[in-house]
Amino acid sequence: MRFRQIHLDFHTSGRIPGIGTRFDAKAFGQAFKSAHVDSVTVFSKCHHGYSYHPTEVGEMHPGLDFDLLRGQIDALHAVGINAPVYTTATWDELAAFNHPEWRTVSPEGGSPRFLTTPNGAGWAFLDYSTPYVDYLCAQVDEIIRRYPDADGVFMDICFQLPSVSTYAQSKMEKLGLDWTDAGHRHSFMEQMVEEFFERVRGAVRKHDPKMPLYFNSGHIRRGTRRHYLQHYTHLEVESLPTAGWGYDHFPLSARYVDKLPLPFLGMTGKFHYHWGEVGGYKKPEALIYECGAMLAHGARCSIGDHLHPTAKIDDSTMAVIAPAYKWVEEREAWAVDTVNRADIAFLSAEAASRPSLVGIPGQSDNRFDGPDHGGVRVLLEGQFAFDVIDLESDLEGYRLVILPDVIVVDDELKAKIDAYVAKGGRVMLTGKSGLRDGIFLFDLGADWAGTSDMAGGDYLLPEPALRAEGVNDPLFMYFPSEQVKVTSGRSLGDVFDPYFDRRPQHFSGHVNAPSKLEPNGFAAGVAKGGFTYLAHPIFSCYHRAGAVAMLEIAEKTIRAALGGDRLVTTTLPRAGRVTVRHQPGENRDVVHLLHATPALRGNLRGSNIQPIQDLITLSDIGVDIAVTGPVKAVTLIPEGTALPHTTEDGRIRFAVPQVRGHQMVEVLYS
Amino acid sequence: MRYRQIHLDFHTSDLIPGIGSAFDAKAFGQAFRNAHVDSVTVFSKCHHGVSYHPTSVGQMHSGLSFDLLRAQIDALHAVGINAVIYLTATWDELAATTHPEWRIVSPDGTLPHVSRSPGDPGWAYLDYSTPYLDYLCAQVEEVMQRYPDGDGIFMDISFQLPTVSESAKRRMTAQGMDWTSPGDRDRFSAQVVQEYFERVSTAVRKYDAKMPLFFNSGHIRRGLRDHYHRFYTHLELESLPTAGWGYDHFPLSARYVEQMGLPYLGMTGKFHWLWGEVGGYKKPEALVYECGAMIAQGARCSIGDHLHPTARIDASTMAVIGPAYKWVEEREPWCVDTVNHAEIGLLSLEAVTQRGLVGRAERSVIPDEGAIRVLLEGQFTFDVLDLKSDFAVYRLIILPDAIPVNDALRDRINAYVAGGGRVLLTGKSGVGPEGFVFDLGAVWEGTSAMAGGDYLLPIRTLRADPVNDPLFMYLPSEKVRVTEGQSLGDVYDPYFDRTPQHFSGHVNAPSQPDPNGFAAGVEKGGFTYFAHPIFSCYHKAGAVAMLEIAEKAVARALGRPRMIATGLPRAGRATLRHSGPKGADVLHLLHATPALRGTLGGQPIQPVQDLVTLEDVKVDLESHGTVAEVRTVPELKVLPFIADGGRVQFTVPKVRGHQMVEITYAS
Repeated sequence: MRFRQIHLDFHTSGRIPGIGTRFDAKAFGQAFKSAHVDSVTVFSKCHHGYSYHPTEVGEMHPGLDFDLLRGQIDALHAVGINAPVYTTATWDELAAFNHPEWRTVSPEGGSPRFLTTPNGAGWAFLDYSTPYVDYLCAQVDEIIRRYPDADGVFMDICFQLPSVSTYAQSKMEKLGLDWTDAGHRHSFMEQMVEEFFERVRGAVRKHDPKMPLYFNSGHIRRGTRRHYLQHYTHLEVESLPTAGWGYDHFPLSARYVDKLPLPFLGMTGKFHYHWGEVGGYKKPEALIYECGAMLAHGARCSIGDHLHPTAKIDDSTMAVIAPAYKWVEEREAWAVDTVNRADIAFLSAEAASRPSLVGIPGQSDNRFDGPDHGGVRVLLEGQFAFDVIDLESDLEGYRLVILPDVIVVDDELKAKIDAYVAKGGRVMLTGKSGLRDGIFLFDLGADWAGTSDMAGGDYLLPEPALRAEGVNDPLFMYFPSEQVKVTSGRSLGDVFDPYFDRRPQHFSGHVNAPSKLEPNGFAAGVAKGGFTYLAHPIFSCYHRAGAVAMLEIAEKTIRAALGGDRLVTTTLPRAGRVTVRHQPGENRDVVHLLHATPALRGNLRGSNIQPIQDLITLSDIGVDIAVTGPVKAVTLIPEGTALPHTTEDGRIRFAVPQVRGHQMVEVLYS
Repeated sequence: MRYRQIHLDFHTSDLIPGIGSAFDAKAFGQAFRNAHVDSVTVFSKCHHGVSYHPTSVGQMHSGLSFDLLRAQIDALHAVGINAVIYLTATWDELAATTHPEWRIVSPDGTLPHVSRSPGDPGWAYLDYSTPYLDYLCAQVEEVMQRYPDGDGIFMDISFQLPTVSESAKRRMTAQGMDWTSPGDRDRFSAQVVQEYFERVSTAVRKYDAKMPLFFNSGHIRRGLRDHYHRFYTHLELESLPTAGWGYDHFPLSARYVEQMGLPYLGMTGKFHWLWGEVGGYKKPEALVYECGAMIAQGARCSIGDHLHPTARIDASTMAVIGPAYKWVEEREPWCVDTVNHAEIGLLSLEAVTQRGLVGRAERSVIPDEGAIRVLLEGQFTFDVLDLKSDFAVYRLIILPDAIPVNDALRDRINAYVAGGGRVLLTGKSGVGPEGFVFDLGAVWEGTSAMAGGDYLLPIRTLRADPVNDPLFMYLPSEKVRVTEGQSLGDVYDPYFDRTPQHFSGHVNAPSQPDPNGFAAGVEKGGFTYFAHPIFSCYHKAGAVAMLEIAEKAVARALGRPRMIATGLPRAGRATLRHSGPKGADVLHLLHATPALRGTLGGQPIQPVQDLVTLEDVKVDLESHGTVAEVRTVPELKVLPFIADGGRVQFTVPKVRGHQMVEITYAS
């Protein structure tokens, strides 16, 4: 799998003339080569539904009069650059226009468009239960026949909304399903989605058993690893930080995907804001930080771009991409074939929910933002070494497993955790995790007495060791706690009720009623044996309110639950991130130090935009890390500067003179 | 005016018992004293409408059995701390409940209340045209009689929504006004708001000609100097960065109010989020930065807090406030009696288009806020102006994006330019019905039909790094044909505007291969004009490339080296203040990076999580005399400097949140 990829979007309205009129094969290839790019994903068909080559199935773009795709593939191959081919599934305006009967009809009866009204400017959704899938598979078949030398197929927008199109209705009736029943619709759609993946994969594999194949839906659904292993040859983690994904979605995804046996890359964009923002540019420094974050999590890199209709290369874009990919190239040798070192396994709430493949995943499904995004935010800001796991992950080797806020524990998971704890493993649970039928499934040394009816939130005052710095009074949490009576465990502090919950019948002040003077008699949490439990859904609290005091309490609780020293500690500020990756082939660890401060600037389509405006230089960053053997040398990478270090009790300490965005340090073992 | 104030909120539902039951006079006074506080605003009446002292007008809180206000005043006075008295006007739940006929009735017939999210309870709005105003003035008079030793009156929520209450309708009809007419309703509102200020002032002044008096409405409305001079003894700039005001509202307000000649303070909060968040705490470091931002703008400081119903002191809050106010105290000698140095005057759109006191004050006027963001991030020195400001003291006047220019303003600006002044106009500023009102060396041919935005490619020297292709601007440009001026670059149209009939791609149609023939801007004589509303573009999209173009446009229009150049990163801010008594300049360097964390009440929350240390920050600034010494204050570390050609250069070893540097001159 190539390391420095470009995803060259080309969604171009049929009303635009002169497509490819400024295409210059030599300049095209050379521009990417000069920008240190080694793979460019080019277009067979775009969301407007037009093909960029002659076709017997669909329609070539009316403004195009030659085989642009062939021109691009050849131009790239001529300079040693890979050329995977892009096509799109659910969004195809031409198909939706020519065959309105192929569109998704939502259960309410409307024909939806993405992020707009049914008649607005945005993509229509097609329905996999209609003959559209035949049309699409014929297109795929044509691609593989025409372009057998392509370096992969990228099938975009692989999700299906619930549909009651006439095709769906008649198929459901034949299957004895009731299309007015939401449950029946859901299982039917699961079947249609599965068929879609099978058929597209079949269309590719019929011609080429080895062609790289990726299906994109904007988010890797945690907890569906079998799906990915069955249909995908690799994973591309689409995650543009300024375009709604934020800066935590990528590390959250990567820490999960890194543990699957598939190569993967992180995909950001050169845009200031979003895909399709032609004439939008981020600073090269921002791209370096984003690529640095990919290397730090074991991912290869892909940068989203958008080609001008004339196929003229945009020099400004190349000037943004080139410094980043030159930078990546210099660091690759320390980034290939590495394994993340982790203290903590964070069980993803999304994974534990065993998600289905129906609907739009990720950004438009916010059910797991609190526990998963909140949890990973704490782990990143606390600079813990962690992986994100699903129910099939092996717990061996982790010192602590975290079950965040909402994890429903079934018998299988209970047995797995009990076995893990019996072997000395430690577990942290928060909020409703581990609760079933009114009891704690694990021996936490406490009884559950219900959920607080202070729906707007109550107050937490943990024991002194777990308090936020300086905050020795009850902290308002914005969510209610579970009511916990300690029996044989050790209480972790007190919960205070507000005078009353905020409701139209009774409220006090602008936000919340003050806390009563005395605690409510329930425990803030409990510790017993290997288990640590917090009665608040603390990750969701932090995700919602963002208070530093909540972060500090969550961080200290994790440290207490972990017991002993962390794998790595640094003197980086809050915005700093650290990972440690082992490179067995080179007998070394590579420490990645990251630092950037995205600023909230602008609001587009209701989304807060957070560009990285520049990078600042941090001086003398201390690092303290557990090593796995005698250390021969500590070296700044790729600069090659040797760093003095001290060794003590299986740990080494050193100071990094400067960190500007990202810095790697090699710890070479004897 | 005291320097280190606490605004001690106490909005406490009448359903809560035991009010003041943990009040300890000595501990109360001592806690504030230990936290370096020198003034505390305490409560006569809160938004729940109950009083915290015996009253023959309103109702004492049913959970209170003694004169808490008196006890607080005495406890504070005993340790030398001022005690300012708080009352609330428009929000008074008790009055709204016992006299529903005193509530605002919106023109659509509903009874409005404040709500942060659907179903969230909140404050009802009262109507100054009803007898509520008599009730309120009687309460003010009672406070003046009972607490003549109070150190000021803080009258909160001093605004009036449009109303068609029975009382308003009756009075409008009696005055020959039509209550179904929005214009008449506005005129009537303006009239009763005026009555409110007159009558409350009179109620105070009847007893004390000198009692400090402030009316709060959450924002100082620019362009209403006469109003503030007439009724206010000082100004309090309510601006909690995490609670919807953001980090730019305060500097924007402060740069305006300084010229008004009234003492002023900046008001933030100890809360993580908003007023009333009892059990919410920001980091002490964040408060140090916010206080640093206040002193950098010549403001005194006030920190919002909320007292527990029992009146027990919250030790955790004191642990947040104490370090910040100790920090401020050490810096005060370099902050009192100072004046801002400014090279640029930004004419405020809010000031120029001010519609008076009707309705709730609009906190965010986009061209003003976008421009201030560019000026702060570009580290220019500036003031924010209204039509009464003296233009002559500035090297550059900016008219941002949408400033209508009437004959009087045109003549003033032309005279200013004739005297050597320079002017930057953007977007629709200076565009009248017949085109440009100034001689810009160009003609105006309307606004681009590309309503969703078009593309800007300025001349090379104004481009963002490394953007040499057309930049999508998200707002349309004005169409400008250059005649005898110098063009500032090209505008490119998208293939078409994004509409349901035709769209291309996810966001915007690409730019056509060739420019559309209109100029990106024009320069002639002292005038620089940009065809895009660039400050609004930057406010909307936030692209660094837009910021860089705007910054370069401002620098070019300025036409000389900027007053301060520093090695601070983008998140850095710099001000330079002249200290008359010391005969010195004081440079303030600020740096913090608020992080977007959390969403409450639909608002993104941006706490400052910590401060980072910047090392060896270079400074090059205009000196105002022969430099004798450069030293960090209050640390008094003498810095080596190079003085040359009216400028002085030095390196500040460390900046952590805020650092002052004093430049003294040979006398």
